[in-house]
Amino acid sequence: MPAYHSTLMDHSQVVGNMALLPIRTQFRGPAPPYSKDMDIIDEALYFFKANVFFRTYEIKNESDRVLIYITLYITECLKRLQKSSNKNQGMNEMYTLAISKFDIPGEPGFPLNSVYAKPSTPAEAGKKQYSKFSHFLCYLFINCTLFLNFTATIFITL
Amino acid sequence: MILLEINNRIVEETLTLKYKNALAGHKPESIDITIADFDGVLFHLSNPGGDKTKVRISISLQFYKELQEHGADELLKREYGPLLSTPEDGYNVSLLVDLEDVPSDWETSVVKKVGLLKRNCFASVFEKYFEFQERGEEGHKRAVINYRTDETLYVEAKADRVTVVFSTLFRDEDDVVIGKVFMQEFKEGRRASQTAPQVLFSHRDPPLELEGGIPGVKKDGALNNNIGYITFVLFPRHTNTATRDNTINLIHTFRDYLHYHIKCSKAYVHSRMRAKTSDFLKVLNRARPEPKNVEKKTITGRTFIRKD
Amino acid sequence: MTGRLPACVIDVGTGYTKLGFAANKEPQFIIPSAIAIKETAKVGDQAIRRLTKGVEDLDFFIGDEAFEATGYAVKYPVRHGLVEDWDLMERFLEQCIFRYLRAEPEDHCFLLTEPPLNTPENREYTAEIMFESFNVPGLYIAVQAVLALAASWASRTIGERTLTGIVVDSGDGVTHVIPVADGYVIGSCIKHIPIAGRNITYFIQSLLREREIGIPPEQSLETAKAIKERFCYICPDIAKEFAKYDSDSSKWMKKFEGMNSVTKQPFVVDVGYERFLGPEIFFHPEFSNPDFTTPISEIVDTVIQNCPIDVRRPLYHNIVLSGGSTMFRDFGRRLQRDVKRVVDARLRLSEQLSGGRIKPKPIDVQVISHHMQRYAVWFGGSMLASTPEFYQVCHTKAAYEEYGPSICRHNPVFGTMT
Repeated sequence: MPAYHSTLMDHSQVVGNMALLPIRTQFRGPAPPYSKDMDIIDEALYFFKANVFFRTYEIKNESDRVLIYITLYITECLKRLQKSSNKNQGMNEMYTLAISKFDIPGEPGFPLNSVYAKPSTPAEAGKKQYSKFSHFLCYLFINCTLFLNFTATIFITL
Repeated sequence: MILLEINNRIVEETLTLKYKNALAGHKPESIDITIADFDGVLFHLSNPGGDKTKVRISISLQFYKELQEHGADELLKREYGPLLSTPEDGYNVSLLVDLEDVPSDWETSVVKKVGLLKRNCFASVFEKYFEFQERGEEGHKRAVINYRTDETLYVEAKADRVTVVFSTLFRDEDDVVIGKVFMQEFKEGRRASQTAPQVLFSHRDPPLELEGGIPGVKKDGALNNNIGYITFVLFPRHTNTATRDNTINLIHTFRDYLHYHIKCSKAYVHSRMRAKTSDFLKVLNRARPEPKNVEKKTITGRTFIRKD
Repeated sequence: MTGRLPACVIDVGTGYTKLGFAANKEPQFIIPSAIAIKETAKVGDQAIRRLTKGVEDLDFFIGDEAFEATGYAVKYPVRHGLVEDWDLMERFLEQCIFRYLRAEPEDHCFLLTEPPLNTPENREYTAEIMFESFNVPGLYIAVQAVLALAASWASRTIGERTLTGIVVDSGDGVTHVIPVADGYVIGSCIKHIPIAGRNITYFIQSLLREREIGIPPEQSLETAKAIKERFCYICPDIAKEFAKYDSDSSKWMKKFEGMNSVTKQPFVVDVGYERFLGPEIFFHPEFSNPDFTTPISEIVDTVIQNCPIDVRRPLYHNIVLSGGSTMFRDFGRRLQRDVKRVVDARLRLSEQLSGGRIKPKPIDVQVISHHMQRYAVWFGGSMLASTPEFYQVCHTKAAYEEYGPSICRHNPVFGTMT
């Protein structure tokens, strides 16, 4: 049984070769709003612990790329949260991360460029970055408590 | 390991486990194992009537009747007392251990003792004759124990000595030879240690002590080429109360001890043979002809060709 | 006397030797297959160096006592299931018989085991040792996989007793998948998997090392082993299992209490995801081994697909587990489900390719778990050696003396009639 894949297939828009998936949030951005129970971020969090154990991952569709991207981002969050001692510090840490530069597909610092197509225009890239981050940021704030619990138990896996 | 152990490891380990389990407060598990020991002895460990808190240890010796004549029952009563119970069907002696009532010194008072059950069954006949000797009584009938199908043990007491004769059967021709050499060493051993008992070994012909139409000596014994007789002459220093137990421990396993060492000697001879074979193989490999038509180079790099 | 006294069953494995008397349910001893000998510093060939004068050849220990003996060198005469050092093996058996079993070998028949693909020469060596040194009246050398199949009869009705099946044997060092048809091993199709008990222990150890700081370093391996044996199980789906642990951690997280062997201070270890992640490496080997990534279920399927076509169905129907590392809860169920998935996918594909014209008959996949699994090989041997048939098929000393050790090259299959 291979690693876990995204089950969210109904995307209308594609950026590069990543899907532009709906996110359940009030923040404004290009991603369509979402009302059902599991969005892509929920899914990434749900599969995170299991998926980090796999050494190989077969990308089956555009949503899987988003899944990987978010998984990488979670890893980064956890790395930073590891250093913080309480919830407030953790929140600050997350906030700094959200406004700091995180390499996106196509940029030289991104580790998995071979499987991601470069966005065609910088504008598109910027838009994408904005959309992802703002949404993510809020999401993480909401879930910060959850994350802090989480870190205690799963740091081992990183 | 030079001497064989006299206790039964399986019985001891099983009981230790049971006791530890009971002391730790775990639920008792059922048990039903049948094991063997030297000289065709069978042990059976079970729960009588399915009661998991009790363990019954039964022993079956084919020659128990003969031992009974020499007071085996009394000796076991003395040694085991309350542990004894009515013998299980098909077995000669049964001991019953209660896991709900664990004595504080269970390791020494129960486990060790039960492990020595076979030894204690054997001990009766030796103890009886050692006593005769101590009291200087003569003229008692010789004890005859058919401890294996074709092998017999004789014990006789005189005022100054106890003679123990084993007849043993060698299943293999080679064993006779190794056995003889081994027994030779035993005779020699007396020279090194003055306190050792006198040991005599005779092959085919029964020793003089057994001759004279005394019942118990197999008439065809002399015909069988593979039978050997070992005679121990035990003096009071071996049979007095202080050393008696040790003597019994050693002498009752003697037959197995002898056969164990015959087997070990053979294993040793085998390893010598293997060493020699690998040696010879090396010599043979050296003698292998060199492959022909191999190009040989001289030191200057020119090809060396032999013309013949 | 052989009829009255039980036969001795000795299963010498790479790691452990299981020995006991036939007709019992469990081996009487499970000892490491190790022997401790005194080694001289002399130079020269090993075989010659070992030759001694006097009684030094009796100065050795086997099993657990081998590790306790100081001043001795510990050797393993068995490697990868095959005997490598016959000198040591002979001495090892000496003590097995005289010290542990306390059996006069002349009175008992012996059932020994061999790994699949053992060489006929090895069987001859074994016969030589048993008949020449120990004068045994009868000897039978059984293939471990066949005994494991026989052991699975314990959980089946009499009509279903068959010697056709595939044995998944997982011990401490290596896992084998061995197909057997009518009591004969299909040697060309055997596959080995480098994932077994020890790898699970190492994996758990590595997970614990990064999180738990209370474990004394020298005890970390045994702690991991104890956790593996006490708490581990196989889960149906790891993502769901993670979610289950996160939603109600108090119910699933366990505590392991150990004792520091030096300071005698107790220590406590939290046992979390290791419980299902440890044994999961059977199904996802890439978790612990970057070079080997094929799940056990796929290996089982490949092995069966390599076998002759007429035995494939019965093989799928009788997948038998053996060895201590298959004792995890639900191991059988998970294996059955995963193999079934692979098989069904293939059947669907062939139906699709034929354009719906062919409807393949569904294949019945069945994994057999039974309560004798841990010592399945020994138990199978004990069971077979207690049947009257055993005494008919075992090679006698008379036959050995008549024909020589070559009689032990072949050991007839038996037991299917019972």
